[in-house]
Amino acid sequence: VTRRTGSLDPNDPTRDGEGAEHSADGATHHVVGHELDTAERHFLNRAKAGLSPNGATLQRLRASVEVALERSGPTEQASTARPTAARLTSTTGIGLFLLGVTVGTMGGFYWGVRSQVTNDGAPNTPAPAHDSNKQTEARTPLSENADPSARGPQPTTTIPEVAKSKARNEGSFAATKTAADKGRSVEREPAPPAPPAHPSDEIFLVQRVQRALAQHDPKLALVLLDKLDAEIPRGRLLEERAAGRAIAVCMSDPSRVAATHTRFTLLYPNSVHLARVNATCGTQQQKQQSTQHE
Amino acid sequence: LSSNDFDQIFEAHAAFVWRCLGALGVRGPDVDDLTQEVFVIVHRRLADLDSEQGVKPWLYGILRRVVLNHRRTLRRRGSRQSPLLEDVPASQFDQHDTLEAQEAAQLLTRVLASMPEEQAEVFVLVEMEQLSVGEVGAALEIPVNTAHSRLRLARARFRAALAERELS
Repeated sequence: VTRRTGSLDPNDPTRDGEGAEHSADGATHHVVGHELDTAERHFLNRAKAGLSPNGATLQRLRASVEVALERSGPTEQASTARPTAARLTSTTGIGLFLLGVTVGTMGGFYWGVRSQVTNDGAPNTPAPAHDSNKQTEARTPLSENADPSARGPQPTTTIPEVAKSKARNEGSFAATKTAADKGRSVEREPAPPAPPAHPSDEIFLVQRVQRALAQHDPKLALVLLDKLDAEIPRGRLLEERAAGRAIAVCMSDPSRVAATHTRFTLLYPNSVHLARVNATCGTQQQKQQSTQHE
Repeated sequence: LSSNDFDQIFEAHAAFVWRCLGALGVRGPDVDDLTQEVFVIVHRRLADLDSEQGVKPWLYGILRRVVLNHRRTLRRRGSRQSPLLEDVPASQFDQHDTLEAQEAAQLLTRVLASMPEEQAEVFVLVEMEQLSVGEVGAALEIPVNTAHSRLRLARARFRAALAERELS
């Protein structure tokens, strides 16, 4: 025997009649309905199989995610690496420059004075460059007690910092090992050989190019076309790709409109895409001419 | 968390994201676009992943916001696409699926479309994706009792729809 709760408490999740019910002995328990039986579960499993993507679809998705990550790379770099880059260029750069000037001046002054004052016949060999810092510290007692951080960042700490930020902004899927652990320049590990491209990948990417152009995003279209050229240089849709590139260039780069238009017309004089290319590039040329007249 | 973790998450959960988008009424090429968008966000927020919470509830939280934004955009553009009210077009299914699986998937999407969306998503996550009710509560940011109740109502509707189909 159960009764439904009739709580008006706004914090009570069962207020709207959902959730718990109370048995006659006052204990609260969840009412979740009956579990699905075997036939219902079997039906759901079939439906799940029908709704799931197959391997080729997953590969296509993976490719599109990679493209999106490559495309968002500069934005992320701008948002995440800019503070690091700014800090490095402003603080470290200026600090290193000033440190170098100071060390150079002081070292030169020191050796000049020493060669003049303490010339007792002993061989007066110039100190190596990396010792000049110690020489300066020896000459200026205040610097021995000074806080090391007040001297500005040292080169040995900035190189891994640069490498770390660079590695952080490296490609998305390639393994990135920062040079912070090694203290030397970043070397990207060789990527594993890519699987051979499937014709459906080309179709999918060309469709994305067309959608990007329809959405007036020629930059994305050009990124996708570059990816196509790199991964599927001998595809079956070269004419569509050339048309897409011509339209994207005409939309994005006014200085190359005429050349692009002519090139496509020469290469594909009977193309079914010629009308679209003519329309886009012709409009851009007309715009250019009208602005020149004005 | 490294890019290898991202690879593993993609391999293990891309199908989950794809199916959930379908269950939330996303159709056609939008499924590709939103799957991509979800994983771009995942890549950016990998550090936020709480291992105790589990990957699927976290992913579903991202996916849900992406779908809400997508619908907002569609509404702004005046599109009449109403989620969960359209049949899945045949092109959404893979050609390798059996006819039986395709029919079951189409029927399930119709059943889900007949439910209030908050019930449909609990049903999908618990019954199809095998999440616990606690995980669903965390993913949807609702009390566990509410998740239980929605599941109960969704099961009842699911049974009624199957019975109706058998009668017809």
